Amino acid sequence: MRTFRAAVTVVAAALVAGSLAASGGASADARASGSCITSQLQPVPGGSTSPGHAVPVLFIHGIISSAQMWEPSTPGSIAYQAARINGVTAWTFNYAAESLHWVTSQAIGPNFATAISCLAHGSGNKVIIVAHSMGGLATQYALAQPDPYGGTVGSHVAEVITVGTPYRGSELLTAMQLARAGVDIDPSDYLQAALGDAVLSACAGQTSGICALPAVLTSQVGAALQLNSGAIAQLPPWPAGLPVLDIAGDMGLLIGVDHVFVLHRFDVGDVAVTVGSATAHDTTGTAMIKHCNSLKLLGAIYGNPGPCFHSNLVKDGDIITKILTAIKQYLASAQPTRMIDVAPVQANGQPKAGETIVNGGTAQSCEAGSDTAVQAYRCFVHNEVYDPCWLDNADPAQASVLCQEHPWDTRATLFKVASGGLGPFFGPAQQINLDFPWGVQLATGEQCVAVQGTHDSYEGKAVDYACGNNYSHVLLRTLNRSSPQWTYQSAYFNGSTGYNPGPLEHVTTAWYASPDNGAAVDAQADECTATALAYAAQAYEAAHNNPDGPLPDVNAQACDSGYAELVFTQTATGTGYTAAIAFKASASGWQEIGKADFITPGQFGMPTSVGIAINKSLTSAPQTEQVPF
Amino acid sequence: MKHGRTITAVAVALVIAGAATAGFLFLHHNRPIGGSAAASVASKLNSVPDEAKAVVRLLLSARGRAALTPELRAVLPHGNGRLFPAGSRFTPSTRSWHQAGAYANMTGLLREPGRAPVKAEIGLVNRHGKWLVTFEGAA
Repeated sequence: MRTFRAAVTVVAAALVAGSLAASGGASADARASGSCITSQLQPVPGGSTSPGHAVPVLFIHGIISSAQMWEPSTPGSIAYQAARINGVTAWTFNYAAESLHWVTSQAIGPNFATAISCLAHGSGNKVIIVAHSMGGLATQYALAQPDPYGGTVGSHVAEVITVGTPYRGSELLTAMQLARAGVDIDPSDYLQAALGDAVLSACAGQTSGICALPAVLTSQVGAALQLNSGAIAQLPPWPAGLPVLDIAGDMGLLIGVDHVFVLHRFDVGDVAVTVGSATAHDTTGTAMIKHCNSLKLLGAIYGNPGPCFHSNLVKDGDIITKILTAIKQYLASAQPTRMIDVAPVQANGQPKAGETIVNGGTAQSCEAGSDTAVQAYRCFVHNEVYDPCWLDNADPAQASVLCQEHPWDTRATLFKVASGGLGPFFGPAQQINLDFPWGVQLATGEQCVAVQGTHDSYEGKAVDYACGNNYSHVLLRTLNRSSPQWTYQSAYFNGSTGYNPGPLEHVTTAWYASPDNGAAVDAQADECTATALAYAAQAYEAAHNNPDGPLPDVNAQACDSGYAELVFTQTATGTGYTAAIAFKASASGWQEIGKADFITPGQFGMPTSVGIAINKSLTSAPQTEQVPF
Repeated sequence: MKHGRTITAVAVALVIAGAATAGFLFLHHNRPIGGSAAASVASKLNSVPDEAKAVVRLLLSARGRAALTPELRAVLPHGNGRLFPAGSRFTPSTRSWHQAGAYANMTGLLREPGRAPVKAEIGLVNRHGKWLVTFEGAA
């Protein structure tokens, strides 16, 4: 019966593979509509079965098990929860009938490779694999198989998460084999033999839990899973660069003469797989080890062996959270970093609607130029520094600022600046430096804000951002923007000796402090700054209904006494056509007062003396730049 | 027709012989290492073999450590030979003997002088016809 079922499975798989090969031009929708489903590959109930552009998450079990180990219909189970993540379809691969065979068997590794390929091509996305026990080794084999569309199956996998995978074999199986041999045991093997003897004798008459393992001993897989076996060594290498997250259980078994407390603690990992074996191929640097108390042998056999036990690992809340987080991190990492410009004020310097404003009293002074936003204020209030701050144009006296601590906040502190304490902006408008956001949100959900003042350094890299509630997690210079989703190398402050290395962090959101255009309005008094010009250009863009389109190249800019002029290439009316726009500062911001091929002094009501000064400035200091917003 | 009967008889004989051979090989393959016919019978009846009872008495005696497998003896904390206080006794429960190949366990009542009886389980392995203790624990 088993042979017949296996044969049917193989035939079914071959048909699937054949249809895949034959349907090279088939639409993704056709494959997505369910053609990947076989007797072995099933969608998790309740989740989407239309991959569309969703990321497939594929669960594969281990020996003496089945797809039911993932409890796909049980709320709270890892498969149940994964299937309900937006942007995910969840699947289980089942080889229960063949689970005592080695991973090279057709129904295991090769069919699993076919399943991965089908899901990847059907969805147009790479697949995330969650593998338990030997399922991890089946994955290792499958990823090296040729893909029907070219390359290897491994190239269609985003990440692998293994739970209790015996990368170096199973010490308990080896111990039991050694004990069963029973003769001429070398003293160096006494530890293993004592463990094997104890488990085998305790399992006489028992077949569940830990006691399911002795049944494996005489099988093909029993030999393959011996410590450092040739079968494992002969598996193809993992694809280079593929993220593999290892999860292991760590518990002890107390064995000996219990009633007189003559016991030895055996470090058994999750009982079937030691910690060393289960974490032997972690490439993420964040292998998770679930630690549990030691159990007495009989307690582990007759009672609940606890969350660290091999088959219980995937039911543990911490481990489920770790896996779901890894899936969500990948989903987030597949999206480009979102850039958001923020400020507590609008472009005209008026407070934003919905902003919670708290009165902070009086600031002694505010200097033009922020640590975290090049074009905002840095204010000093007694011994505290508030940065960044924006001029609050709700104050008719133009002597108040709104300061915001975090870019993700909608709460700002209002300060009245002491007379003469508000420094003006000078110089040309500065572009936002994309390498230095004000704050970022990581794929983990953690939020980080730019460090001010003197920066620490770690391994020659400046500590630029502090994350979380206690700021112990930091991000190091420089932001890597070479991929659509940006990344930082991170570190952890250990409080005494400095920093420890942290993982590579993916940035989902980067907040930039908007230029203080409110300060530009301040130019109406008499100052005429480059910031004002930037605002003027923005106003022009908005007036011409092209706020998100490409900005014109500013060829020259100059201003004086509340008047300004921009000369730029007017791309909207034909390449190379140069135009000049005249602006005048007012209480409500800069207003366009006219435009022409060139503007003469006195034109559009501009005072002649001012027009001359502007023209002179335009002539003497032409420049070409992109105006930042 | 007679020829056909002969062929059938031969085939049946071959099947029986094959089954017998397979059965022998199966039993041989699963024969306890050093196990005895008595052990197999005991397994069927769930009664504890006398040799196993003897090693449990040894475990409770002044030479208790001698009842342990050499491997277990080596890994356990060292001490004198006695593990249980003098006068300790173990009474196996009825039908509590479980055996799989060379391995077995049994439960029973452990009585130590001055203490209330407790239910205990003892694991054993048969090596060359001799039972040795692999563990003892509270059942």
